[in-house]
Parts: sequence; C-alpha cells; structure tokens
Amino acid sequence: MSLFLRSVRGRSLPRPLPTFALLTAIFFLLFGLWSLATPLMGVPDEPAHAIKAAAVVRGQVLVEDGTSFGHGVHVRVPNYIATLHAQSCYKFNRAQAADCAAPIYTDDTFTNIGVTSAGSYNPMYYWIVGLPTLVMSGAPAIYGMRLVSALFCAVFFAAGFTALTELRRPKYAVLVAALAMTPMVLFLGGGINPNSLEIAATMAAFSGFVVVLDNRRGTKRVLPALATVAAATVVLANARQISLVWLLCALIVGVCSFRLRRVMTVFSDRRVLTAVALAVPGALLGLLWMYIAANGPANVGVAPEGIASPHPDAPLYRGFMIMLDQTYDFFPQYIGTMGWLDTPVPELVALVWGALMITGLVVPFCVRPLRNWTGYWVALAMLYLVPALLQTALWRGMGFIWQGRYTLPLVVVLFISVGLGLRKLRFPGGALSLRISRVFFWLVVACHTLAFVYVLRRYVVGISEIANWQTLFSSPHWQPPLGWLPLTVLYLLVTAVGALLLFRYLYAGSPLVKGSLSHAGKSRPSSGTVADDTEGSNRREPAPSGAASATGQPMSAGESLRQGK
Amino acid sequence: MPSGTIEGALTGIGSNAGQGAVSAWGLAWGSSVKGTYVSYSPDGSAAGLKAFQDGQSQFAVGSAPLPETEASAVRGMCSSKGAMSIAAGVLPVGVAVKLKGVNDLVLDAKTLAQILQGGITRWNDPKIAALNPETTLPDAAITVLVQEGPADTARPVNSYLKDAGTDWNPPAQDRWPGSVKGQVQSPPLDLANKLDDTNGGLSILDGSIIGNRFVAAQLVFDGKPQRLQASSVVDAVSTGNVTASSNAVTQALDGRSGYGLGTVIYMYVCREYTDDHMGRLVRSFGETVLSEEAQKNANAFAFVMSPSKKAVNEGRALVNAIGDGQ
Repeated sequence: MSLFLRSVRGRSLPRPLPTFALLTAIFFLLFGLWSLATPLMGVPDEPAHAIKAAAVVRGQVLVEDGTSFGHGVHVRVPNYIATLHAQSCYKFNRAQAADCAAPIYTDDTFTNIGVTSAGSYNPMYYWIVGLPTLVMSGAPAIYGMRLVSALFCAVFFAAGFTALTELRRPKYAVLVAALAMTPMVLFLGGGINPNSLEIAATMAAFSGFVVVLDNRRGTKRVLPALATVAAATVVLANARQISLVWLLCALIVGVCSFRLRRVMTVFSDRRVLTAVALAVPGALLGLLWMYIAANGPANVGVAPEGIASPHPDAPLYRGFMIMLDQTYDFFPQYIGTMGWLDTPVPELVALVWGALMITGLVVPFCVRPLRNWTGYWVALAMLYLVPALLQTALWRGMGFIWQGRYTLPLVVVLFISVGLGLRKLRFPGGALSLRISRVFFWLVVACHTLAFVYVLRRYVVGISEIANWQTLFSSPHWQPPLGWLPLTVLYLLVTAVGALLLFRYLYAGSPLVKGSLSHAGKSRPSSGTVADDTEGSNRREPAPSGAASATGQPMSAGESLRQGK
Repeated sequence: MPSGTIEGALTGIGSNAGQGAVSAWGLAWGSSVKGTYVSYSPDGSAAGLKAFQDGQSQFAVGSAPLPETEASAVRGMCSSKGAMSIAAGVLPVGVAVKLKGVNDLVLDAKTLAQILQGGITRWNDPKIAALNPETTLPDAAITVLVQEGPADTARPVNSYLKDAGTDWNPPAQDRWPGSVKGQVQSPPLDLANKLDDTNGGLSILDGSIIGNRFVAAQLVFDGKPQRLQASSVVDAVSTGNVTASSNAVTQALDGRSGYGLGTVIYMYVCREYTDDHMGRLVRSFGETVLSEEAQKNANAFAFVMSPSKKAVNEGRALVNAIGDGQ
C-alpha cells in the first residue's frame, strides 16, 4: 500500500511494478472471495468451460470427428468433472438454496463422457485454468480452477489500471475505470468462464494503448503499458472468437480518443513496432485456431436448451432492430445479474450504479468541445451497433442468446473513454469535493458488499418470502467455504482497502476515514489544486489544447461548463 | 465417496420423439438420486445408434427395437454381450389440421393416404365429407406438410396405412413414400410453425406438439373413429402386444381398443458395460425410467404414455440384470 502511495506521491515517475503487484493482489482477493461465495457451477456456463478445461489439459484439444453432437462436444474427463451439470439444481430458481447440489467427491475419478458447448474454443485459457485438475480432484480442484482463472483475470485488470496511472492526466480515467468494475465484473472474475478474461484483457489492451498514445514522445517511459497491450492482444486473439471484435473496438476507440497525427507518430515508434512484432505471432496463432475450428466438426448443433430457439426464416433486419431496441435493457446485467441470470443485485445497488452510468453517459454532452469526445461517441455507437450486429448474425441459427455480460468488455471501454475525455479538466480537490467523495466512496463500498452478501443470501437460504436476512443467521441451508459471514467481512475489508487506496491516490494521500489514520495529519491540505499539483509532478508534456484555458492550465469541469467550451 | 453412492452423468443421443421423455426421466433421476444428470441430444435415431456403437454415449433412443443381430454386434461401451432395447414410453402421433372453422374431423386410412399422396386436394372433397357428415367443410385447398424422412412420426403412420390395405410402399419404415406431397426438411417444431401459418394445412406431428394448438383428426381404427387423447392411447397400449427376450422388450399399440397411432420410445443400453461404474449408473437410471414417478413426469411434461404394466415389468427385469453376468 505504501509503495503504491509513494509511487504516486513522491516520485516523478510512477513505479508500475509495485502498483501492479498491489492491484493484482486486490483483484485476486475480490475474485477469490466471489469464487468462494458462489457455489460450484453457479456462474453462467461454468460446467461447459470446466469440462472443456479438464479435457484440454488431458490432451483433448481439437474436436475429433464423431464427437460433436447437437448438445455439444463429447470429451473424456474424470466423472466428478463430467457430472458438473448435475450441480444445476438451483439454476434459474433463486428461491432454491444451493444445498440441493450433491457433494463433489475427490475419489470420483473414473473416466466418463463430459459434454461441453465450448468444445471448439481456443484452448489457451483452458490450458491454464484446467491445470489444477491434474494435481487435485473433486471440489478442491474446481475451486483451484476458479482461483487460477481469477489470478489470470486479476493480472490483466491490474495491468490495465497500472497502465492508466501512466496517463499524463490519469485521475478521471482511473476513477471511471474503478467505477466500471461493477459487481457483475467482479462476480464473473470468480468463475470458470473466459468471459471474465475477455473483459480484463480488453480493459488492459485499451488502457495500455491509450497510455502509449498519450505518451507518444516518450514510449520508453510507458514500456509496461506497451507490454500490456501486446500481452492483452495475444490473449484476446486466443480467447473466444468474439474477443477479437472487442480488441478491434478497443483499438478503434483508442485511436479516436486522440488526434490522428499522434496515432501515426506512435506507429512509427521503434518500441511500438517491436511490441506489434511480438504480438503478431500470438495473434496469428489465434487466427490459425479460428481457421482450424471453422473447418472442424461443429461446436454445438443447437442453442442451449431453455435459453433460445432458432429462427431459420426470420428476417435479419428485424433481429437487428429488436437488439437496438433493447440496448438499455442490458444495463441491469452490466451492473449485476448474478448466477444464471437469476439473481439481480438489490435495487439500491442497481440505482447507485445506474445513476453512475447515466452520469457517465451524459457528461460528454455537458463538457465542450464535443470533438474532444470522439472516442466516446465511437464507443457509444459501438455499444448500440456491435452487439446488435453480432446477435443478428447468430439469430437464425441460435435465436436470441445475447446477454449483457457478453458486452461488458465494450462497456468498460466506453466508460474509460469518458474518463479519457475528461482528462483535460482539473480534478477537483477542494474540501467540499473531498467530503462528497468520502461519502460517495463509502456508498460504493457498501453497495459492493451489499451485492456480495445478497448473492450469498440467495445461495445460503434462497430469495423467497420465507427466506429473509434473519433466516440467513438463524437457519442457513448452505454454507460456502469459510462461512458466509466471514466471507462478507473479508469482502467488506478488501473493497474498503481498494476504495482507500483509490481515494488516497485521487486526493494525494487524504484518508478515506477522516482523522482515522496516524499519518492523516501529514496529508497535504485539501485545496482545489492539490490533486492537480500531484498530477503536475508527473507532467512530461505541456497540457494539451482543447479544453485547456488560455494559460495552458487545465480547467475544472465547472469552469469548462461556465465557459461553454 | 461413501460406499454405494451413485453419482455421475449419462449421455444419450437419439430420436427427436424421445427428447421430452428423456428430459422428464432425467429430472426424475436427478431428484431421486442426487448428483446424477442426463445429457441428451435429439440428433435422430440413426445418429443415436451410431454414437452408441462408437462409444460416444452410454445409451441411445430410437423408435424401433434393435434387430437381434444388430443388438448383439453393438460394442462401444458394451461388452461382447452387446445391447438390448427396452420399450420405455409411447408418444402418440396425430394428424394435425389447421383449417379455419373446423374443430373436429374424422379421417380413415384410405382417405388419409389419398390426401398425403395428393389424390384428394380440397377439404370439401366428397370422400372427406362422407366421413364428416355433420361438419361443414370449406372449399379450401389441402396443403400437406410432413417432415422429410427419416422421421419418428413416419413409422407409425406408414404402419397404419399399410395395415389398412392401402397402396402404401415406403422405402423404409421411417421414411415417407416418394409419392407423399409436401415433404420439407424441417424439424418438428418448425413444421408446426409452418402449419400454424397455413390455413388448410395438414401435417403429421407428435401429440406433445399438437396439444391444443391444432385440431387432431380422429382416425378410424377397426371401423371406429378414435380421438387422440391420453385415455384412448393408454387403452391401445394396455392391450397392445408385448414381447420379451434377453435383449428386447417390445410394445405394440392395439387399434381395436383405442387410438393406435404412436411412436414407441425404445432405450438402447448395454447388457453389460465394460466399465462397472457405467453399468451401475445405467442400471440406476433405467430403474428410475421405469418407475411410476418418472413415467408420470414424462406424461405430464411430454405427453408420453407409459408402456403397459407387462412391458414395464419385463423392462425392469432386463435393467436389473445389466452387468450381472446373465
């Protein structure tokens, strides 16, 4: 923690490694706590991905002829893995506690047929996530898979945030990116599903890319960000096929967030070209896999039962229009619809994040000039069009299968682009701002914790008229490892620590709990310039034009609004 | 794992007609034996048999018992004893009609054969009118829509029309004669959607799809019109002929006592599995399938009738013998 603070307070250059390590630990703890809080197979499509992972590490990488059927690809895995679909007794039924699921025994290892709808997915994620099943068995192996996946995702989220701190004016971007870590993003990070890695890697690729663009004349200073882009590119190319679409979207939004001249300069930089050269072979491997998968046996013949039905004769434009119509219907899923789409977060949480998201979407309309927001406009247009186009392409064969979580990579990029658009404004640091921020930060911590404990309640006693908060204490039906109460306390602590670190970063060492820290008195007095002075210590280029005032100093949002710029 | 615990997943491939029943049986198994699960893919009887033979599934589902030579030749997960077929349910098949203003209709085998082959093209044809003297039939064209074979629904209709002495020569039991009009490559649910959009349409669908959505024509069996309803089908099943051997329990429907048009759902399982674990799992599943609760589930969820008591008892005996060396 102190390393992190020193890096942003006392040095002219950020120290990415300690920041990265600290953030990795925080994200890993958050994802890990979700891993423990969610019953095994409680994350969407988790059985299919767990079975695929166990098969891949056992050498079943390609889909063999004669193993592909309507419901998925058949693989040979230990019985405790093949039987994971049996854990679904609480699926789609939030009144049902998780105690209905059978225990997963460690000695249940005879080889059986497992069915996975992820059969033809790129094996990269599964090779890593499936490893615990080679050294462990039963429920511990599944938790092991979850934790490996959580670590994988934590690394990329941490790399993305670390990169963002290297922006010349990073505070708004870091703040908005932190708020984009909705309960849903954290929940997904705790499960076995490459969806979470896709969100993390897209966030990392975008963040690293914009940092490189922002530091075009000093790419040596942002080598970690450059490495992040290269690594995230390779990972996205080797995640799901759709991941490449998100990568492309992220790169386009990044390019549109800066002037074209700057982009051109960056792509003539030797270090950038080296990073591209390093990423290309990995990306080509991903493309090669796509070719192999496209020419191999089908992944699955029908849409998952109960979710969708095909519309072979449906006019495509109608599917497109329906999706456009539903653009904002997916927002609750971006915030938190946990489990198998059966457990929406409490209304308070939805309201708070809904307000944050609406604020984020509206801010660009209020801050001039509008041309500074090109990246945002493009990202917003993508939010409308890309899911609609992708779902339309799938409509005839699979019906309406789109879920909000699929779009989360783009949503995170969209909101970070809002932070980028605000980067030319002075970050408010006055006493009032501090007071408001403190309340607001605690509210966010409370909402994260409320979402967490509500999901625990859903699995411990179920959500029904006879299962309320009191029954959670008095008659729990199911208990996660460590128990629901210790997990909740731990989650509260970790989110609070995360909020504390972010607050001190944004407000130059100011404590989140006023007067509670021994060194609080040493923190610099809160004034309108504190934060900007700190940012100013990291300046490597003159303040950009645009929203900047005539003196070259960045304006506050209020000033910009007053001047109608 | 405590000794005697049964936990595991079974995978089956087979006929479309079996989908609803297997789903209901799987639910019953999962609730009576915690930690068990069935994955079933309705890819067709032929695909199911191939997957079973290739060791890609522990069981398969078809609409006819395996011939003895074929059953004993099955390997896959089976030992040298081969496989067996067990009648596990009956899914009624009906003649679905979509005709504005007509809520009831009687057809006999000869008329149905002529309609399917295009010999009768309008609903007010005198031959149809003669069977329905109290119904005012509109002057509307008949549009035949049937699933291009192989189709689970073709088998019982082929048998019904052939037994009635019509000139009916299908190339295979589960395929329509080439002379049948309106053969389309659509799965049953899509076929139903097409029928829904076609006034004057006639199709052959299973009873679970027909439901209250379409008029199911009464069919004449043994000179008497029989309505497609559960009680009538149960009557035909309960007096239907049952045969039992070491590798098959078969069930027939008796049109003399009820509505006799239905697909018998046969489950193909190994007589002995090469892996004891599989044998235990399949035996447990088979016991559930033939239990009263699972059969009730299948009836309630999928409109699948139970085989006759005799067939169920014979089936249980075969299931209990899985893998015990008999």
